[in-house]
Amino acid sequence: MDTPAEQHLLTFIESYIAALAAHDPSRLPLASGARYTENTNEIAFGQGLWGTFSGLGDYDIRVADPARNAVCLLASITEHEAPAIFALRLRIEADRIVEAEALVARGRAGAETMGVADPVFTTEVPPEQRTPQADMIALVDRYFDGVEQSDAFDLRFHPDCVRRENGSQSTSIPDRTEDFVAGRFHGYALDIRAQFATRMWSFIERVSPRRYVIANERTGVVVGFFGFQHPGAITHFIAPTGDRVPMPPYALAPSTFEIAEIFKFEAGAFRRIEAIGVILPFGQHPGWPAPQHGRTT
Amino acid sequence: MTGRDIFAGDLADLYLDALVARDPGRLPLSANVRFSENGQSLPIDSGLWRTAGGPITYRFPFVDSASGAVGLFAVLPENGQKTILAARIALENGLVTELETIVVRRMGALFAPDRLTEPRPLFLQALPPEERLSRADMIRAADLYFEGIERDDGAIIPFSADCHRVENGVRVTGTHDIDERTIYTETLAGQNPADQISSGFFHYIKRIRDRRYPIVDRERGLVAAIVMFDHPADDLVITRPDGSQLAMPKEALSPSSALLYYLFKIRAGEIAGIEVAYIMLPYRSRSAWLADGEG
Repeated sequence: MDTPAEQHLLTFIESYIAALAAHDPSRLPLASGARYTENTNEIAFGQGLWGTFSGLGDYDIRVADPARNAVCLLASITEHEAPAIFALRLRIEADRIVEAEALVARGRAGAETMGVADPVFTTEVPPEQRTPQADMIALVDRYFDGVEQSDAFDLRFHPDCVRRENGSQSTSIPDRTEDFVAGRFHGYALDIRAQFATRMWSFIERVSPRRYVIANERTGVVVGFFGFQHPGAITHFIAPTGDRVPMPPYALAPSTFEIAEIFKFEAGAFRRIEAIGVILPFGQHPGWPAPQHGRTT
Repeated sequence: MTGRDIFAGDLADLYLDALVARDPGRLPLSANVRFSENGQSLPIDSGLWRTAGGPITYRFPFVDSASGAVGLFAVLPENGQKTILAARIALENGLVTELETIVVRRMGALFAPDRLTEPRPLFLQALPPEERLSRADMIRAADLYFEGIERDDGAIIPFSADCHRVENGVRVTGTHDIDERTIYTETLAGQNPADQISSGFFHYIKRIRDRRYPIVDRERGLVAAIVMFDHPADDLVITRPDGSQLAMPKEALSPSSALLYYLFKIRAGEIAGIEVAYIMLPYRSRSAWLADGEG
């Protein structure tokens, strides 16, 4: 059961979606000077998705963090009846929206495989299995350090932990063979922990900036917005099997992916991860200041 | 060839050779050189500088007769995948101070680097002196093209009867040879540039902003333009002046912007040919070459 403070924050998602569906930002409780970005560009409330939003789809995760006055929605949507994937972050001050940040991933490929959200993201974690919020953020930070360094360190993952990216599962999925296959190596078939040391993610040079938005101990959930920097310079890697494995086509050109990612923890272990992201020119700024103190916004 | 052609070709060749070698140090760089790729300011040793390879299968340099700035279209592989490169090099005292690039990577069907092999002869021909315009008049003709698109009015644009347009290597006007996956239906692709614009088809291009004309070659009648298109996607169907309805293409049904590098051939006051390289970007993207507050 959401706490009263969480419930209050979640009403801002309700009113945001209602205003979006009406294509009418005047219905929003906006603070003066409120900023809106869509796919990293600052635009006026009323532009972009505000003119094209048709409705929510079946996939829908809403999480709130009263300590940070933040609330997020990860959802499948339709835009002029075409499927898309949507991540929204709101920051609330004095019962008004001061920041709204949206990522809209367009194109059918991912949108049609989003399905429904795993209820684990909104399920309460028993008190004895909770992780302090600062520790959860430190674990996610360590996870991204591990992506950069091809090292899972001492991170712990639940045996059923998988990650999905724009609706496509990318770990523990033997059926997926379009990339990361060579000789005896089959990257997507490996579990999330085993993938790190293979170097298959080494085309991700840096995950920066890392902006943490939500850390909710009750549900064991962290949400952040992260810049994945892909210079495009690594074309192959040598897998532990000894096979020389080509990087997938999307890794062979410089790009930046801006990604909203949700992490679920149970007893200090990663339980499930879901990412929603858009592809941008290499070096594109996320549209919000980098964290000033520590890594949280 | 005149001396300036040789120099433009030399600088373009030097740049492409440096790119294939992934070594910007081979260029005479100013200490304060600015570099951009696809609208983003980057360190000079990043982007295509880390991924380019040979062979160069297309190269078309051109030069600003007044400033010495060099423009370039080229095709070269990036980690084995062909890309279309459109570049602009600005010089001061013989040193490169600005390098602006648009790198078109594999995208939708409007991407045919293999069809770019030699520059169109039209674009290489020097104009007889009586067919040359002033710099300002050349830019005015090119700018009318963008005005015409914004107004759905091809009639205000001074086109020659034989003008056609090539986008990312694909001819998209006056042709029946069009990929069915593109937004260009057979009817549309069969039209000339003016009729296409007047048909209302490009109504989804609501704004053409941040228009820059960095290279003008009066002798050959060439004007390079770098501009941003905005596609707010707020119309599904438009009603034309004659009352008929026209559905906007499905690619225009979500908000986006496009960064485009145009080269216009202007002959005897008319636009006689158009070459374009472009990429798609998030809606309302801005170019690194605008100062804060511009656009």
